[in-house]
Amino acid sequence: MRVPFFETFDVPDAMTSRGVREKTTVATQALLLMNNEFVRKQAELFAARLAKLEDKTPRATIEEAYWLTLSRKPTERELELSLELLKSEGQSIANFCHILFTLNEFIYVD
Amino acid sequence: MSIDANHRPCLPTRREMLSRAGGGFGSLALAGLLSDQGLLANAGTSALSPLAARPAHFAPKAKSVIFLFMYGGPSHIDLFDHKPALKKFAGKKVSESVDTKGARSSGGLFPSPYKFERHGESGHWVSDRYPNLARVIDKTAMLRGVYGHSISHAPALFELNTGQIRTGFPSLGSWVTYGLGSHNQDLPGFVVMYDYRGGPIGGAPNWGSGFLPGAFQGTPVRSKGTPILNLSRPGKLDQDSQRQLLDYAAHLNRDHRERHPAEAALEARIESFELAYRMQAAAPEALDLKSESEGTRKLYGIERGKPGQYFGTQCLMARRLVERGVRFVQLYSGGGHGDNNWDAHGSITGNHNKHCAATDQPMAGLLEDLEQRGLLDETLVVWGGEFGRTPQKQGGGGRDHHPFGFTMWMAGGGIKGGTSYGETDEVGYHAAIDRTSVHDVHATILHLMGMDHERLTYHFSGRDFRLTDVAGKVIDKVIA
Repeated sequence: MRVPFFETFDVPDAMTSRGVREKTTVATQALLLMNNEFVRKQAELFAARLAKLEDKTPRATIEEAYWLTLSRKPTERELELSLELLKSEGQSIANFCHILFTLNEFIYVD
Repeated sequence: MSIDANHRPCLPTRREMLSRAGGGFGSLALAGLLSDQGLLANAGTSALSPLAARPAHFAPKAKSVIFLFMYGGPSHIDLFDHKPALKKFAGKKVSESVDTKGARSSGGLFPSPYKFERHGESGHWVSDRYPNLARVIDKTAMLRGVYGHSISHAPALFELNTGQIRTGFPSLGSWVTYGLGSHNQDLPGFVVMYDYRGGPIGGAPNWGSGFLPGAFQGTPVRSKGTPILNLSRPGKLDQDSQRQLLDYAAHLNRDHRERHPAEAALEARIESFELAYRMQAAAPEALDLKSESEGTRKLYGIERGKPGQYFGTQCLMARRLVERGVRFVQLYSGGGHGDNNWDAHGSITGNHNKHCAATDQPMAGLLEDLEQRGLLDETLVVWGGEFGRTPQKQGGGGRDHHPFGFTMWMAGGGIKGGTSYGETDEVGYHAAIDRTSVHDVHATILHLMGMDHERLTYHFSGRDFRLTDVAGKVIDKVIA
């Protein structure tokens, strides 16, 4: 059996040759990124890393998170959306880190 | 070269480079033209919503399939294929009269320990292990001359599921959802529910999409515990917060998408998160049996401590799924190893008594319930295992693997109940009359779903592939 995490992302069966890796886009992959405990744990570890920043303002945290995940600064609009998100009830830096892992821009490398 | 202050490496991205070189939009336009003219093999499927319902080749007789897979190899000779000659030849070597194809069993011929009787108007033979199924046996068409090509579990499973004894080929359920999509966009189109004791040998390739796009692979659902993996949010994340996070991501993804207009996969991925979010609500409801009446649960044999409680649960979940428009559901009876599945090497009675009791009431209940709800006409129910079992005895009272002739049955959507096709020889060794290959079974299932097995193709590795390869004939005799 293939590892379920990898299988969700189309790792080829090692029993046969495969000229090209399937690239699929299915809801079970989204579910995994949204709800899987491993993914959540990485988001929490990412949040813990951001917590070590000297500048503890939300702005600095957001900017560093963008640099680390997307290799760029957030745009003004993204910064606004992010600040608004972090201010909302029930949200946390870990949630914010978690959602960055699901972004198309994070998953697909240019 | 532009300098983008927001990017650390001040180089154009690959896509920027391509679009400047003029290749991006040219190839996009070409793909569009080819697709419009139906020249791409999978032009029928949209990259954006691969599960959207699509028209069949011709008017379908069935809308959904429930495939009851008896993993391990149920004995045709002890269930449906009555062979009184085995009494006459009891203890005799089969090799004197039959070409055994080098099969390993050397025991003497072994009459069934079970009593057989004809049932219903059809007069189908059923052994006394299936008293409830016998009540509704007129709904079934018996295929008593099916044969396969492997004497081992995994390749035989692959053959029944994909038409090939090797891995890497798309499963029947994948072909069906590739061809037709699904009627419910909040649930996967192809659901696989394996036995509570574990999955069948060979695992995921049995419901894999092979070279078809992964959106058509079976989604495993467990009949015990959480039915679909990752459906429940992690402890620290509530529903409202998750919705807000997804909205935030959707904003960013749409902006990103505008910067990359040629990439359809980006849109598909945005969609997949919406389906996943909807599945969190739809799937638990679809798989929650609490709303089913006591009477319905009893009909399926779901009673604590009763043999039918597990397979009954799977059958009832299957009905709920097809009721909600799911296209293809495959249920496994038997899992893990040894006598936890139908692999009765040591003792037919020790093994089959248990598995027959576990499936009899659930299968009969499923057929009756589907009929009562008006769903049987549009739901094709298929029963079978990866092979049958030898007419010879193995060990004290068991039987070995046997692919040379065995029984499957179908009921419901488009099937003419009470018919039969195919026969094995006098002792149940070889499929002898109207020999039925697995390709024939697959061709028939596709036909009932409104698809011509010769036209359902996918271009891969330089040629158009079919579920039925270059074979398969529709078994007209069992079609209503």
